[in-house]
Amino acid sequence: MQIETRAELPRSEAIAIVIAVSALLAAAIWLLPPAPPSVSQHRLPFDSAELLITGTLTVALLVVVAALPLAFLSAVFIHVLPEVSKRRMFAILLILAQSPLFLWGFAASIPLLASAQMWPVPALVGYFSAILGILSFPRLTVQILSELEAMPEVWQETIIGLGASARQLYWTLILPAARSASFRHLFAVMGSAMTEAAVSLLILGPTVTLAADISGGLIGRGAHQMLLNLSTYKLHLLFLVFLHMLTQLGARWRLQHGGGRL
Amino acid sequence: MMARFGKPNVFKMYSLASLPLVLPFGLLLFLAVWAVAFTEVWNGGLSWGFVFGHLLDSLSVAVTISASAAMTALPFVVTAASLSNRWFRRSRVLANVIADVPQLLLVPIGALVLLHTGSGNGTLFLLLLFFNGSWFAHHSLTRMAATRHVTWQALQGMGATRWQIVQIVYLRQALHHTLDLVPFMVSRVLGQVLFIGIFAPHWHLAPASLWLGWTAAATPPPLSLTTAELLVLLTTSLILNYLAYRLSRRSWEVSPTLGHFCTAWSEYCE
Repeated sequence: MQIETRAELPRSEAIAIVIAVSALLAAAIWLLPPAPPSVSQHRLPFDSAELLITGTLTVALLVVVAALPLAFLSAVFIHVLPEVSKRRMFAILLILAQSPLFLWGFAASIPLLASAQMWPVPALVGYFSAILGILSFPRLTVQILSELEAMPEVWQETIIGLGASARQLYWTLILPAARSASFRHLFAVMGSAMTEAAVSLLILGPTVTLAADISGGLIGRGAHQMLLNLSTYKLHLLFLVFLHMLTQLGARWRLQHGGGRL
Repeated sequence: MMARFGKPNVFKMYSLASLPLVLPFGLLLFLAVWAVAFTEVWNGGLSWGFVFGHLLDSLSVAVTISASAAMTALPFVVTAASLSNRWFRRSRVLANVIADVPQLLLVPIGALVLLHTGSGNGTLFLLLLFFNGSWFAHHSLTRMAATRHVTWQALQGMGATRWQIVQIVYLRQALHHTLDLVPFMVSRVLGQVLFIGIFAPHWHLAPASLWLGWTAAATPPPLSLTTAELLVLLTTSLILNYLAYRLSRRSWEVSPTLGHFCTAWSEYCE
């Protein structure tokens, strides 16, 4: 068997796999038994659909706004550290990125829980988007840093050999590479923010995203009741599958064409 | 690299690199502690026996699930490694795509299984196996991809058959990855079990019961105890992850450069 040094799957095949997995998820949702009339009140009503969908997209965008600068700066600064220091910082990053970040999310929501009065919805969305951004960025940083580290050494040697200053090295090599790596991995961050914002928002009462609405309806139910309730959220879930599929497709698309490898 | 431009100020570089990490997580912790202190709900009501009992229960659940998930995914990993390049890549992308499915979207699958089997704990176990098995497969195949062209070429050059290569290299590599990845998977499963506690508290998983106070957040009294427990859990999860990092470092020491170190954890290593 001939072994190729560069092993990338054609984009069409990667996209087909993403669509197939999303179709399976959608089929599982579709196959849920219909909810009895007594609990089928909670359909996605058209008046609140706009709020939920807007809330979901807003949270996802704000998460990116919060996570991107943090991930970008930490990846660039860690990349230029001396080798030993770089290893230490990467270990800390890895430990943070792999820890159960839900715990941090709930720790950060204590001010809201302890607050005597309810926060206005825009403040809630902003606060939790910032928290979700903080929780997402270590994973984004690992991805950006790994792409920076994968840059061929010869590029840096060439630029330095041509007499570039440290600042020119930053502007011509490191920052462009970090920028294209950041945008390549942003879609995945947005996707997880869209579907997992629930965990941070569900305890607050007002449901402003699709995922938070589902969580609010399911929380604390027994097995049977949960199953019945879940059936009433088919449209919510299908919409989330659709958004998830879009972000996954976006990530695969950019992997091949987004800015390219330097 | 920066040493080329004169003696680097390592302290300044360290400060710059650690600020984006320390500031946000420090802020989260400060907010939590400040809120607890401000509302005077921290009344020292932390029962260490209770917390450590929960932690031990949680750990045993997480270790069992992680080990089972790794063992379940192992045949898939070895089979994928023995396939041609094209099918190896397809398997890798498939494992990656499944591992990226958000937990919330797995709830309907669990509901369907529950509907047909009627076994709550069985369903839960199956979901966790599936979800974490794909994570294990994704990372194991990613690591294999980093060295695949070298191992195949070297062994094929020596006249080894495909089955021999699988036996000599890939089976051992996959077992090695099990040792490396299971410690990280333990803390990952811990988070999932807490997540399940929110959606399905009737499953009564040990760590999940800690969340019952949180989910009934409208009433402050449960906050006093569970906040303390949360802080203990936060610290413990970081310590656990540090231990996982130390345990799994062995494989990275094969190649001392950070490039390999990063590659082992990157989604797109080629």
